[in-house]
Amino acid sequence: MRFSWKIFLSTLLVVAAGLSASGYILVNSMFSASMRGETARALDENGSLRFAFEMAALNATPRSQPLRNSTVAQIGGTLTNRLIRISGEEREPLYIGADFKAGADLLTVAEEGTAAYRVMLSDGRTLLHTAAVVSVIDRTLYLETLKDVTSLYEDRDEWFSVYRRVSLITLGFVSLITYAVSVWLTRPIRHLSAVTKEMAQGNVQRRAQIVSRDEMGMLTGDFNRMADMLEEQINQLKQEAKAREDFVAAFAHELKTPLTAVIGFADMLRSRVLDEEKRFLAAQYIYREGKRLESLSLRLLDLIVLRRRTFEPKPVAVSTLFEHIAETFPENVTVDYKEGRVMAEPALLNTVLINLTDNARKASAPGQTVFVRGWRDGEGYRFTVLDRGKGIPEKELSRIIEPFYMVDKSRAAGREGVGLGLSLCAGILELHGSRMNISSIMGKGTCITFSLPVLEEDQ
Amino acid sequence: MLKVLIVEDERAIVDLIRLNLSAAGYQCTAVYNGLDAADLLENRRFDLILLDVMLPGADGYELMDYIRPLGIPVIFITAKHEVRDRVKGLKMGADDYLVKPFDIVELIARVETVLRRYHKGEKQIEVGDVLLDLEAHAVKKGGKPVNLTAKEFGLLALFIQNKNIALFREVLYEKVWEGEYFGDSRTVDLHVQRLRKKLGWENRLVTVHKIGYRLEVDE
Repeated sequence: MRFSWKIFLSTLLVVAAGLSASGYILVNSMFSASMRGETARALDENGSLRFAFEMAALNATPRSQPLRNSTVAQIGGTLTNRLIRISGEEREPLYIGADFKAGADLLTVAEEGTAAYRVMLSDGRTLLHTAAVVSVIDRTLYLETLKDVTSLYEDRDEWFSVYRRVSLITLGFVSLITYAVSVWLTRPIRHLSAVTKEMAQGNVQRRAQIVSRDEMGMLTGDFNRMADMLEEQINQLKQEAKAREDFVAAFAHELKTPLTAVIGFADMLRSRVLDEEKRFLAAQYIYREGKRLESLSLRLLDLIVLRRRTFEPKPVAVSTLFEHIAETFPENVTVDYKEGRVMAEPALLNTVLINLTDNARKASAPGQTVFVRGWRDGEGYRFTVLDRGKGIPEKELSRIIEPFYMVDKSRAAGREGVGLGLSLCAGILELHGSRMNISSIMGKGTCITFSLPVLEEDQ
Repeated sequence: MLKVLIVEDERAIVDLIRLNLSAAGYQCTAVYNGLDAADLLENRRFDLILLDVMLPGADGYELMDYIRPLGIPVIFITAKHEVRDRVKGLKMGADDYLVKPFDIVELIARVETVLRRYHKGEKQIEVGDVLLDLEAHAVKKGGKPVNLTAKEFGLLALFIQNKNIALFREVLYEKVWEGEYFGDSRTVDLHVQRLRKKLGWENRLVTVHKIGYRLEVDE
């Protein structure tokens, strides 16, 4: 059952029960109040009849004479009330009013000084039956009266029916209001539920609207926060998956191009008689593309090994690094550094510097100089590789460390390299807790810099 | 002579395609990026374009939009072998695709098939007194029809497309029977012998020791 129906039905049930109980109590108390009044009146009437009877009996009986039964009957006749009965000591009726119809059983409880009464039904009418003892002269007689109280009961039934009608109307109003209220109260739940369904169908950007500041609003807020978290994680996973997919696609492309050349030229060599020049060309391509495959697989291996590697940084004198660079690139590279020792893995750091320098040289025109510098920079030691080459377009700066990404896509230019160098450098520096800072101006050159912690005792 | 434009940024691949298509009798022109290709297409007509998908400048898909109105048949060269990439290329109007790495035989076969579809390639090829009709799937020797089975016809077509080239048994098997060659099948030898007999080509279809066969034609 829906929550709004639950609220609606339970409220309705409570209101209905409350209305009937209070109506029952109200009508009954009104009824018993009027019943009490009527009873008091009936007893009063009984009392005044007794008094009238006593007076008449005293008047009608000479002094020191007993009161005769015939006299009692005669006096009974003179009393105006037609609903009376007068009985003797043995409870035998001495006078019965014309309309009086009742048993004698009430007389057994009537005693001197008190009056008894009961409610009885007779011929579809409700009657109030009173009985009291009358002691007059030498006799102890019983005087009974009947009083028709049917109208009281009729009134009570009337009240009940009126009350029922009023209750029904009230219930109608209450149900309308309750329904509206329950629908209004459960609106955030339905909204939340609709949003959840939409999200389940894949629309993860959907958020619930906060319409109140109560618990519902808090729930909605919590839900939205949860959704934000989930979406973030989903996006992150998607991004990772896409990066992996891109890597595989790029790798496949990088692998297949040299493979095609190797297979194709080898196929030519084996199945065709070629002249000297073509045979040399084919062999040359097989050799060069084979070499490219080799460097690709080596770089890839570096990357994979790097990802699994943990290492202990040890103190490295920067002079060994810079001297190695100067030896590796004897021409067009100017090395300039201040002494210092950094915490690093020397072989990996060497790879970074060689890669960066090599890239800088490739970006430079023949004869242009590349500057490799190092100096103490606050708590760290800063390495900088600067060239005056062609630069990197601004929009490509953020992508440049992606695997296989190359600014110069036309491999036709005859440049070597597989597009993994900067990726590798970024990976190595990440292991060292550092990162590259690349700034570049088109046509002016590129500056790549990173900082490593120096040895503690040197600080 | 049919003119072929090769659009590919890898010089090695360009040379590979050019050497082989030239040997098969095509006139080849090569450009190394998409923009040059578009420039070239403005003033020169080609019968076929071999188009690499990943290109500097404008990529193959972008270039395709430019080529389609020209009505020149296109074969995509791609390193992506996934179905959706191939479907994308074909949907964009390419006539065929070639997945790297590819065999020379496959390159030539696809080029000829596409050209034939455009009624540009040779429909009838004559070698000596043998006339091969690729469309009618019929062969005549000295004017008289020769009855060949489908596999024998396929073999003959392959030999004629690759004149004076040694065709390896595995290549013949893979192209004609379209299955993987396991090295122990005598099927190829059997069919070549029957083909020789039917055409009287004992001297033309030469056995190349340990390799396969070569159709020798004087050029």
